[in-house]
Order: sequence, then C-alpha cells, then structure tokens
Amino acid sequence: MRVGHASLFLWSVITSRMPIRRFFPLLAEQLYRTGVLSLLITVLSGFFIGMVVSLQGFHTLQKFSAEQALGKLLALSVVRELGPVITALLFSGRAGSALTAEIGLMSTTDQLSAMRMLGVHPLWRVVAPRFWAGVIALPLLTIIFDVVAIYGGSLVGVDWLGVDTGAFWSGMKSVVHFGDDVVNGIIKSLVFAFLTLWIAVYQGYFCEPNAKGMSIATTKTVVYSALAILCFDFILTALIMGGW
Amino acid sequence: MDQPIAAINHGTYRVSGRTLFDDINVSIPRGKITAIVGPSGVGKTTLLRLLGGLIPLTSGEVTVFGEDINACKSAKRDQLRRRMGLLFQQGALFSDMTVFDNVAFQLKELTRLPDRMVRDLVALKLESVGLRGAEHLMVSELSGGMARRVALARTLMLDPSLMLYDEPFTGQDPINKAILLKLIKSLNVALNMSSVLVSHDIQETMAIADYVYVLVGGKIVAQGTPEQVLNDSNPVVQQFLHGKADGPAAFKYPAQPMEEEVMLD
Repeated sequence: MRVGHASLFLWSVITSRMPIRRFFPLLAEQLYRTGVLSLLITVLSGFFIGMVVSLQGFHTLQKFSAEQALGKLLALSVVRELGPVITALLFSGRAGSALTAEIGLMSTTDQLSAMRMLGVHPLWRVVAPRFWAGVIALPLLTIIFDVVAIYGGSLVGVDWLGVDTGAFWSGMKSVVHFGDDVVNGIIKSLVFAFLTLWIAVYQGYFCEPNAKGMSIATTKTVVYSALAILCFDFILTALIMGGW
Repeated sequence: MDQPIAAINHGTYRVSGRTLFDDINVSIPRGKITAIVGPSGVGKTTLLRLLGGLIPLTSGEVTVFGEDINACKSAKRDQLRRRMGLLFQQGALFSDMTVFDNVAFQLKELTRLPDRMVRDLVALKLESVGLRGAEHLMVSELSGGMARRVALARTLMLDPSLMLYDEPFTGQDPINKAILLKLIKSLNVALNMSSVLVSHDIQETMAIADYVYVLVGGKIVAQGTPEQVLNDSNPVVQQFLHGKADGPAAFKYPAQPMEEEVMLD
C-alpha cells in the first residue's frame, strides 16, 4: 500500500480548483449515482438487520426477563455501530467498487489522458465530484439505514414478539442521546465515507491499464475499505467511549 | 529562421529498465506536417505523449510554444494543452457521452458560450469531418472510422495551433484513409496549424509530410524531406521504408538458438 502517494493524491483531489458552475451539476449527477442508486440495498439491508437484531435480542433478553429493554438494545446497537459500519461496508461494495471500475476503465481507455490533452484536468472533472458525492451520500444513507432498521426491529419486537409498544419506544427515547449517539454515529459515517472514497478513487486512478489490473483494483477497494472501516470503527469507538 | 512550435532537446526516456529514447533531438517546424515513422514498438506513441506532457522525460527538455511543458505548473500546462490537440490511436472518446457531448466537451467545460452557439459550433466541426447528423449517437454505436473522425472533431474544437496524430490510418479502410489524409492536409492549411503525424503507413505519410524523422532503436536514424529520407543510404532506413523482410533490422526478438530451446537432437 502506497500510503504516502495516496495521501498526496487525496490532497490534490481536495484542493483541486474547479469552476463552481460546473461543480454543482457534476456533484448532483454523482449524488444520484452513488447515493440514490445505493438506496435500495441500504433500505433492504437495514430492514433485515433491524429484524434480526430484534429477534436475537429478544431471545437473549428473555433469559434475563428483560424483554422490555429491546427498544434500547435495538436503538443503541443500530445508531452507534450497525448503522454506520454496515452502511459503509455495503457502500464500499456497491458504490466504491463501481467508482474504481469506472475510473479505472477511463484510465485504461485513455479517456483521462484525452481529458488532460483537452485542457480539462481529470482530478476536478472526474475524481472530485465522485469523491465529494460519496462523502455527502454515505452519512445520509446511514441515517436512512438507522430509521429503517429501527422500524424493521419494531415490527419483529412489537408486532410479532409482543414487546409492549410503550416500553419499546419510551425506552429507546430515554437511552438514545442525540449528541452522544446519533451525532457520533454520523461522525463515524463521515470518517468511513472519507476512507472508502479515498481508497476507491485512488485504486481506480492508478490501476494497471488492463483487465487484470482493474480486477485487482476493484478487489482492493472492497478489501481495503472493509479493513479501514473496521479498524477506524474500533479507534473511533474507543475515543467516543472515552477509554482512550 | 522561425522558432519551432515544439521540440525535444537531448531527450532521454527510460521505463522499466529499458531506454526507449537515447538523447534524441526533434524539432517541429511551424505550419508544416512533420512525420515520425519507425517500426512497431519503437516508441512513436510515447514520443507524442512526451510532446503533450502526459509523461515526463528522464532527462532533457520538451518545449511547446516556447515553454518547458514539464516544468510548468499544472494550470499553465492545461493552458498550453488547450492550444494543442492529440488524436489518440483508439479515439479515446468519452464512452458515457453522445457524439454531441464529446465534441462539445471543451466548450461546455471551458467556456460560457450559450447553448445555441455550442450547437452551431459542434455542427460545423462535425460537418468538417463528414458526420453532421450523427450528434445523437452514443460512442458504442460508432464504427472505428467514425469514432476516429468524431475524436478529430473534438480535438479541433478550439482550433489548436499544434495537432498530434497518433497512428491515424491504423485499422482504416482505403476510403477512410483517403478521407483522413485529405482532412489532415486541408486542416493544416485552412487553420494554419502545425501537425505531427506518427505512423508506420509509409505511403500515406510520405504523401502529405513536409518533414520526416525516422526513429529506430531509440535514435533518430534519418531526417529530412520525404525525398531525402526515401533516398537515405542507411540500410536500416531503406529496409523499413521499403518494407524489406531481410536487412539489418531484426525481425525476430532476441532469443537463444531454437535447438537449445526445444532440445532437438
């Protein structure tokens, strides 16, 4: 891994000067491609994750006669951990690998070189809109994941398993704090977005210009992103929990 | 004497342990068509990329419009490139855009011209390459020849002063070759351009070139007008230009004797 080279590249992307009038239309287009088109997998995954956590949680809490705490368990698990981490992992697999493949193909077929020769730098025209679109989209997708997961969990916990509705929702409200839990979850999501998009655009931009090179690059995007997400999840959790 | 529009001075380029160019000097005169010919794999495409500043020399200098293109800041280099054009061998069209969007790319990204004017300018450029009416086609719907002409129209949008052509005749049928030859010659005259043409199609190249460099083994082995080069006494030059199978230039890649390779008794 060429961390130094990748860091210089990230700096170039962040500081690339682009015409504002071109940036927002490009950003909007990429927000649709990376964000809106990732909605379905995010919503479906959130729904099932919420249902599974609720199901597993109920049976575990039942052993301690604490079924009424299911709402608290579900909300804290989703908002603090599952939402940011699973959304980021799904995003890296779906959008991250697609970005790597797209930029890699453009590099392989000389489209990026052609753009340079037309006096338009690919860093601001191709890379930066995709990078910033992902950084904006992932936290929003995380929020959607959280909401859908909690809803899915409530269907299982309340409607199916019979947990008291009042206990479920009031318990959730009492234990989830906006600043400590929700905001920290979004901060995690932002960090994961930065890491995932950084890895995705770097791998695509510098992949070997052949089919094998692109295959390796997309694999690296998914693997490195997953490892980075899990590693930084631990670091951020340790920092947030105050133990570090 | 006019200063050359572009030049490589004492250029050496090494990649993956191999010396591709060894202290070469290439001067591109203004207003002329300069051809660079040589066997396959000698580095002709790399030479064009060096002129365009897409890759840096290992040592030496590449000047374009009087500026060292590799020593410039990124913004200055982009400005220089807007005065140049490079027609890539495969066209390098933007595959997710239509013909119109490809040709209009520079106008949309670099100017604030109204849509009506952009449409008119695109129509004019496509007319010059014989493809007006194909604006709506996606890149995947184009034949090889059409893609090359669309790429040419895109490259010419800002009327560059220096055009670089990378193997423009490769893979073209005789009709397309004739069209491209005529286009390159007429555009050079009409737009007062300077052109660099890299090819190993000797007949076509010699027909339109004003000056020729012959590149073999990382060195310029001959240069001059087409007549001078065709009559050059260097046997390597003669072998290449006349397409002779036998001669000092080896056909076969260096390897151990066949008997040793396959263990023949």
